[in-house]
Amino acid sequence: MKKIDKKSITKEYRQGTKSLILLVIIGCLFLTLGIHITVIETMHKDDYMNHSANQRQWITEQSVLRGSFIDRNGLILAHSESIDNEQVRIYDFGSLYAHIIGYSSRTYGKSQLEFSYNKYLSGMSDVTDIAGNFVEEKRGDTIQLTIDNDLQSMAQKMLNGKNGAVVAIKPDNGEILCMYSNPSFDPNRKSLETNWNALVESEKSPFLSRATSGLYAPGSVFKTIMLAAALEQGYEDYSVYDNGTLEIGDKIFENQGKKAYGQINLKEAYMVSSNVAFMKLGVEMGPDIIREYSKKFGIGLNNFQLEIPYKNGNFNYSSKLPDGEIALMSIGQGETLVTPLQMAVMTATIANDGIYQEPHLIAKITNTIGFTVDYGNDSSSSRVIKSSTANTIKEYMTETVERGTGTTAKIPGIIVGGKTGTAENETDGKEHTWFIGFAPAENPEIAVAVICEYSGGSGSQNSAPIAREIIKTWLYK
Amino acid sequence: MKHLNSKTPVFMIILINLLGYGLLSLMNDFSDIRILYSGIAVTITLSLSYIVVKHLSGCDGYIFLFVAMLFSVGEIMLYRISPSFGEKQILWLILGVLVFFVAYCLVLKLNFWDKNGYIYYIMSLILFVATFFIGSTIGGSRNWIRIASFTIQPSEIIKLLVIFFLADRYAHPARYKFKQLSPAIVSSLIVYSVIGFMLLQREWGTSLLLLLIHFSLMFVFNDEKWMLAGNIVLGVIIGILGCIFVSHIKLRINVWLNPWNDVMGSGYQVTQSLFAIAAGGFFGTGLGQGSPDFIPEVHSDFIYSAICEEFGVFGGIAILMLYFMLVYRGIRISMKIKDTFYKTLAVGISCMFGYQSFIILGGVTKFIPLTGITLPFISYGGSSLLVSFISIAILEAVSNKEYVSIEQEEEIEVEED
Repeated sequence: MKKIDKKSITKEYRQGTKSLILLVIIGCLFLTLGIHITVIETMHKDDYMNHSANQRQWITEQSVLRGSFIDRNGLILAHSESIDNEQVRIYDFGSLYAHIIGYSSRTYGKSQLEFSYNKYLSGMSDVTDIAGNFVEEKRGDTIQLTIDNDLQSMAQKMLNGKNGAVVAIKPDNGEILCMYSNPSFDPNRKSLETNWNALVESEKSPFLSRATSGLYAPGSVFKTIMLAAALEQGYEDYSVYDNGTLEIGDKIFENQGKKAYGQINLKEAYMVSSNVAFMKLGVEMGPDIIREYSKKFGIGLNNFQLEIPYKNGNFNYSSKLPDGEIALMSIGQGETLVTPLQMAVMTATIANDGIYQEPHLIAKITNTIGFTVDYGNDSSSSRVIKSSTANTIKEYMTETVERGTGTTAKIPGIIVGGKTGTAENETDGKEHTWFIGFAPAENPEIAVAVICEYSGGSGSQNSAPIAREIIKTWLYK
Repeated sequence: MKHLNSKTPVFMIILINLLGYGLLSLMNDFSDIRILYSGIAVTITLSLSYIVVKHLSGCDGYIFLFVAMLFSVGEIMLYRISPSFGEKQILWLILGVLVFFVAYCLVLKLNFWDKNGYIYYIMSLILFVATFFIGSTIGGSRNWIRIASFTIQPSEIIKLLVIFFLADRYAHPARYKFKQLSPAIVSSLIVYSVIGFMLLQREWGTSLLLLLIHFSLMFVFNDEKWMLAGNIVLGVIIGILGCIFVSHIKLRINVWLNPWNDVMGSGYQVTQSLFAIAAGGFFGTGLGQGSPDFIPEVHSDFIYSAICEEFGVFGGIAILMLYFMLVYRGIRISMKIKDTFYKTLAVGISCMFGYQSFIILGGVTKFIPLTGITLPFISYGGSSLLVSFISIAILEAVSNKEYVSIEQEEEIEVEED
C-alpha cells in the first residue's frame, strides 16, 4: 500500500510541476502581448497617428486652423479658411506646388510636405501645443519654403505642354529655389475629388514628382562626372583620336550625328560632347573609378535629408564588366538612372567649388505668435571634389555654353556654364533631353537642371532655353 | 458589512464603477439618469455576489474579484460605446450571476459528472446538428441558434463540453480503450472530430482554442512524450495545409502579415484597431475622450482596442495581468485537488481563459492572425458571459470540493487512528 501511495504522490508532484510550466507558458504569452502593445506605442505611434486612413487626425485637426505655406518672400502658397464651421484647405496657386506641398484631403489623406510636416501644420509641435493654451484661436505653424514663387511660375510656364521637370538650387547653401514637375494637378478639394480617378489612371502620371522621383538615364550630362574622375585620377592630359565611331566587340558606337572630331583633348571632347572620346576614356579608367565618382555625387545612394520623398537613382553594375557596357556607362546610357534633383545638386556642388550642400525645401517654421519653432533640416555640407577640379569643370562648362553644344543657354552680359544631354529611352524613338547649368560663372548664384521627356531633338534645343529663362529670372530679380 | 470597508479589495470594484459611471454621467451633464441606475445595478450585483461567495466556505474569493474587475472595466467601456448594448449586458450579468450560483451548487452537490464522458461528446454532436439545421447565419458564419428572441452560440457551450469530456478521459482512461487503440488516440480522435465540426462552421478561433487546451491537458496528464509530440506535429502540419489551401485562412494570414496593403478593405478592422491603440498613449485619452467608434465590431471582438485607447497601454496591461492572475488562481486550485477528474477540469478551464483571451487579444493587436472569438467577461454577448460565469462556478465548486474532500480524508485518518 505504501508503494502505491508514493507512486501517486510523485505522479501528483509531476502533474503539479507541469501545471506550473503551463502557467509560465501562458504568462510568457501575456508578457509578449504586453511588450507588443508597448512597442506599438513607442515605435509606431507617429506612423499610425499620421496614417491617411486614421480618421482621428481630422477630429483634432478641426479644432486647429491648419498652418500656411509661404514662399521665401512671404507670399502665401497654401492656407486654410474656416467656412461654415468647416475647414477648407486652399492652394492659392493650384497645380504649381502640388509636388512640393502636396494635398491634405479628408478622403485621400495627405502627401508630400502636408504629410511629413503635419505635426507642425496641425499645431501639434511641442512649442505650439503649449503656446496654444494661451491664445483664443488655435493655429498651426507657418512653414516658409526656400522656393521663389517667380522662379516656380516661370518653370511652369516654360514646361507648359511638355512632360519634364525643372530644379534650381542656390549653390552656396543648398536652398531649392524652384522645383516643378509637369504635368501637375490641382490639389484643391473640389478639383481633387472630381478628377481623382482620371488622375490615378492617367498615362502621364501627374502624381509623379518627376523632379525628385522621376528616374532618367543621365545621357551626356554624365560626362561631367567622367570629367571630374579624369581630372582627379591622372587623366587630365588625356587626348584621343575621334573618327566618329568606335567598335567594341561586335558593337559599333557612334557620336551624335556621326560627327568626327579628329585628335581632341578632354576639354574639346566635353565641349562637343564626343561619345567616342568618353567611351575610350571610360574603358581606359575602368568601372571602379567611374563608380567611385558616381557615388561621390550620390547616384544610387540614399544621401539626402530632403523633407519630401525622393528616389535614389540607380548605379547597379557588377564589378566585372565587358568593355561594351563600360562604354555605355561612360556616356550615361546603360543601367545608370538619376533624378533631376540629383543632377541639380551635382551642378550646384561643382558651382560651389566642389562642396556639397544638403538640398532643402524648408527655410523656417514659425508659430502664431511669431516664434521660430524649427529651421527645417540641418543643412550639412561636405567636400566632394577638389576646388581645382571644380574650377576646371566650371571653365569647361562655360566654354560649352560659349561655343560648344550649349550655346542656346547664353545670356548677354552674364557668363553661364552648362552641359546638354540626351538620354535614350527604350520605349520610344524620341529621347529625353537634359540641360544642367549655373550662373554667373565667377560667383554662381543659381544651379539648374532641366529635363524634357520624349522631346526629340537635343538638350540644346529644348532644355537649355528653359534653364536660360530660369537663370535670367533669378539674376535679374 | 465587514467586507465593504475601504481596506477590502471589493472596495476597488465599487470605486471603479463609481468613477466610471460618474464620468459617463458627467459627459451627459447628468441628463440621463439611466446611466446612474445602470452603475448602481452593476455595483450592487457584483458586491452582493462577492459577499455571498466570500461566505461560502472554501470558495476562492480572489477569482471572483478578478472576474468582477474584468467585467466592470468591460461594462464601463461597453456602456460608453453603446448604452443600449451596455444595458442589455447588465441583464446578462444578473442572469450570469444567478447561473453562477446554480452551476456552483450543481457541480458541488451532484456527483455524476464523471459517470460517462461520452455523454459530453454526444451533447456536442447534438448541438452541431442543431446548428446545421436550425442555425442562423450572423456575420458570415452559420454558428448561432435562435430561440425566441435570443441567439445562443453553441460553440461557447461545446468548449466546456470538450473540457468535461477530456476530464473524464484522464480520470477513467479504461473507458476509452478500444482493442489496439490507446485512450490517448481515441480521445484525440474525438477531440479532432469536434474541431473538424468547428472548422466546418468557420470557428477558427474556437478550433485553435480547443486544440491548445487538448495539447495542454495532454502535456500535464499524459506522460507519453511521443504522443504529445506526434499530436503537435500533426496539428502543425494540418495548420500549415490549412494556411495554404483554405482561402479563408489564407486571407486572414495575408491580412495579418500586411494589413496596410488593403487599408480600406480587408485590413480595415485591424488597422483601425492599431490606430486606436496607438492613439491612447501610455495613460489613455480618458474615458469618452477617444474615438474607438471608428473600429467596426468594437463592442465585441475589438473592445480591447477601445480599452487601450481610452485607458492607455497601462490599462491594457492591467487587463492582461487580471487574466493572468485568473489563470494563476485556477492552476493553484487544480494543484490542491487529488481527484483527477476535477483536477483536469480546473486545469482545462484555467487554460481556456488564458488561451481564449490571448487568441483574441493577440488578434486585435496584430500579434497573431485575427480569429473571431470573444474576450471573456469583457466582450458584449450573453452566451459568452454565461459560459464564462459557469466556468468560474465550476472552478469555485472544484476548489470547494477540494476543501470538502480534505475534510473527509481527515475524518478517515481519524478513523484509522
